[in-house]
Amino acid sequence: MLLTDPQFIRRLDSLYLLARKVLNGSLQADRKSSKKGTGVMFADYAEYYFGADYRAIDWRVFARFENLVIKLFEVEEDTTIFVLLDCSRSMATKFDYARQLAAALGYIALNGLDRLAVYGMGETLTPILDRCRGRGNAMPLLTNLQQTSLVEGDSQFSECCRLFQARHSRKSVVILLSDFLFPSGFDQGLSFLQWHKHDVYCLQVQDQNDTECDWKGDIQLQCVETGKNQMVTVTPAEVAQYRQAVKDWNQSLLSACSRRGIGLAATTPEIPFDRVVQDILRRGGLVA
Amino acid sequence: MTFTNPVYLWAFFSLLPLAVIYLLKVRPNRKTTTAYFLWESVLRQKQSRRLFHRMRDLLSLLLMMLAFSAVILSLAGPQWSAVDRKDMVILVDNSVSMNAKNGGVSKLEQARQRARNIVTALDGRQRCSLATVSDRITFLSNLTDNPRELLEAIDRIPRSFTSGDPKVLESLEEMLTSQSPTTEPKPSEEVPQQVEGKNDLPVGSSTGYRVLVLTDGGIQVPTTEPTSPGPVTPEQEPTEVAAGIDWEPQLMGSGSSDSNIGIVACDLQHSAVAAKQAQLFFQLLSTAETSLDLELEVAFNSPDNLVKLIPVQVVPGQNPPEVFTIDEAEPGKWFLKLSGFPNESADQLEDDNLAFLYLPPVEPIPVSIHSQDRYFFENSILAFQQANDLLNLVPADQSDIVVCQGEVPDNLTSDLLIFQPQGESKWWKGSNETFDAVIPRALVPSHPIIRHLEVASMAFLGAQKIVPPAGAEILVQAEDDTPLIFRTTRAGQTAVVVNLDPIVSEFYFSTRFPVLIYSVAMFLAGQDQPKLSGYPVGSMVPVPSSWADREMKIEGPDTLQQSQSAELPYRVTSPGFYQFRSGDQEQWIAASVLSREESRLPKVAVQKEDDSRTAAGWSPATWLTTLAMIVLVAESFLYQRRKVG
Repeated sequence: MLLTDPQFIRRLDSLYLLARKVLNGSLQADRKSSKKGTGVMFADYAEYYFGADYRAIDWRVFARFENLVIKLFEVEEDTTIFVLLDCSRSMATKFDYARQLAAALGYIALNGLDRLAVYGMGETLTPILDRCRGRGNAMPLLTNLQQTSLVEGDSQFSECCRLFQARHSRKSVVILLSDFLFPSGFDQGLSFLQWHKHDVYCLQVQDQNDTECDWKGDIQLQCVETGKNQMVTVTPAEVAQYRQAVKDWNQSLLSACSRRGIGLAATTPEIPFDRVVQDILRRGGLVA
Repeated sequence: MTFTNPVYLWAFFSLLPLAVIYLLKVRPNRKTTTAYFLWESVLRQKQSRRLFHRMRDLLSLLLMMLAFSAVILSLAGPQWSAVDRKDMVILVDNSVSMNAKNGGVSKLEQARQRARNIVTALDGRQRCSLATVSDRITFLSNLTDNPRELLEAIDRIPRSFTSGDPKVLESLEEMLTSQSPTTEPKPSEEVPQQVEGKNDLPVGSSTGYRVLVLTDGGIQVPTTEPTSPGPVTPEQEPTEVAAGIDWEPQLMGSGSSDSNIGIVACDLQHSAVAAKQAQLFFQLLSTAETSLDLELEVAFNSPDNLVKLIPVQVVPGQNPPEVFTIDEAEPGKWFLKLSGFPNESADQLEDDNLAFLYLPPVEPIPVSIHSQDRYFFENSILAFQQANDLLNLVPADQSDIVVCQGEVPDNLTSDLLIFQPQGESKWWKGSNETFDAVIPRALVPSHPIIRHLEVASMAFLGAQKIVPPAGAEILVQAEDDTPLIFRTTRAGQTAVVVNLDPIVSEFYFSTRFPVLIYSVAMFLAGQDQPKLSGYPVGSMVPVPSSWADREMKIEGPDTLQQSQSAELPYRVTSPGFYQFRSGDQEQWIAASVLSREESRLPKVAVQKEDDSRTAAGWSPATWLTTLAMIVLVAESFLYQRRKVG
């Protein structure tokens, strides 16, 4: 199904309506911030200090207690959502599914008047959609995602994250869409992403090609990204060891995310993308 | 090594395309993976098997070439040496000494196993026949190249209790020689009586026969020089060997120093001096090097019913015979059993430790007299009555035998001894014309009735010109063919007619008179044959002459019941008791091993294997086929690993 297909867009609209209902209200600049400032939502009282805004003094409190206190309000600010889509060849069998997930998340963000930028990860970081805002950018998002293809070469997750860290120092939300099968590991990359206090969320997409092995006997095993190969005799023992290795790898990802406070959700292409997004929304976001 | 079908060796050229096929082997399927680095971590743990993995294809090629080579060599029919292709006859000695155990296994079983190995090695490429040999040769299979038939025949080799006849192979040699292509085959009735069974060895064997004799040395094997490899026991003397027959002894036994002690002779008879007393005679033989103290158990009716325990000291060699008196000895079955052996090695052969004896009951023959002149007849019978109750003079209605003189009434139902026949009778026909036969002629001199009479010196004066009934057995006749003594049977009643006038012939005063009375009485009572209390197994047991013309039933330890004409002596083949029955009469016979030669156990030299002449076990082709199968299994394992892990 094309990302620009009306039927697909209708499914995105449904997700957006669900998002509004779940988040209870307008999405305009409604992303809560820990900063206190000049918003409309009362947050707390504070002692008056020199230079504080007179408009914030609560005169009713002064009239009653003869103390100057000022009211603090939550700052409501828009934020930038970065979607980093793994475009390495290891995503070949689940790339369409990853693009659908990216489109859904981006569509909701744009409709929530957040800023959105989408990057593709391969040997390097490749922009798919530059930072933009507003519903009008939904179609360019879908079009660009549709036109995005897999990139040659070995995926360099750490390098991509380092580039991202260098380019975007302002705190933002980063959503990673990948199978996280990086030969060089994911720890260093996640460290780069958290360097500027970004809120990082990982959405792991793996299918049976990644987790299972139904081969038997002699095969010429070849890496889908680098083209390296070697002769292997696959026995049930090797199959079991491979399954265990994948399980250990995913467990290490889960441990790393938990340790770093990074939200992680794992899914497979067998699960419809909108159900995955619904689950994420119902849980209030990606939970670490 | 030679090959039966060397043309198959050309098939070795097929190894070249085989090698090419393996070298051009299709590469395995290519599979892409998204987690190659995880596979690397898995395979890193199996680094030690990488060398085997790399060499596996070469190993497969070598295994397949090895399997092909083994199959080709198998088809070529390899032989370790130039095997003699003469038709083979395997003779397995199954005389009783072969039952001796050597290392827990009887020599007969060792011979069976040896025969199996030889037959297996023939591999269906050589014709062979199987026979057993003891006191006679019994063929168990025809001359065949079918190993299964031969192996089944080997399984049928019976355990025998008969003694081996050292000269028995001469009869086989005679038969094989008669069937060689250079001589005229003998008619079947001329086949030696010692050869029985399937003696249909084919005529026309161009190469003659090779005869393997698996024996413990008890059978004398004609030697064949210079090819005979087997050792020959010292007591064997080389005999003249017929052309075309290769004799090859294969001696069974390990040559161990195990000894044997057995009963080689025994007898049990009623005492001549006291009633209800019997004299036991026995003789032992020992091959041990030292004297041993043993016990001889004497039992009655069953081996467990011990009557007497005789301590005996058995010296090496043949012991002197010993006689013991047994009081209150009842007629019936008696058992002698040697016991008290210090260990198993002291006695290799168990069969000669037990002997069976039968003590017949003392039963006087009831005799009555039907004559006007009773005096001489009565005194003659009373004389035998006083001597060990052999005869018993009784009234006519109680007698089994009636001694008559002159006319014989037809109402007598007992067997009859008739002197001086007169008048008409169912036992003869003729006139009252008398004559003197001075030159009698004995037609059956060995007949129990006349064998002690010296008939030629008798004068048959006052004999009647009579004619015997049809079927009568004429024992003595005159020069004009008039019967003087004859036996005839009619409706189960037997009569012996003595055609003379006892007074004129002065027969009453002759010592031949009581002899004739006694001989006829014993004959008519069925006791004319001398009976032993025990017979050696394999001997011919005499049957009472009066049972002739009758069917008798025999029940023995090796046969439930069988019928045989009483005209022939019966051959006992197993130790134990035999019951002979004919009508109301019965007779018991005991048979035991009782053989000095067998109990002595032929001393066997340790045999040196001669593989060049007699191959044993699986043939090289079978081994090669087995090797090919094993190699193919190994290759299939590797193939399985390659294809399905």
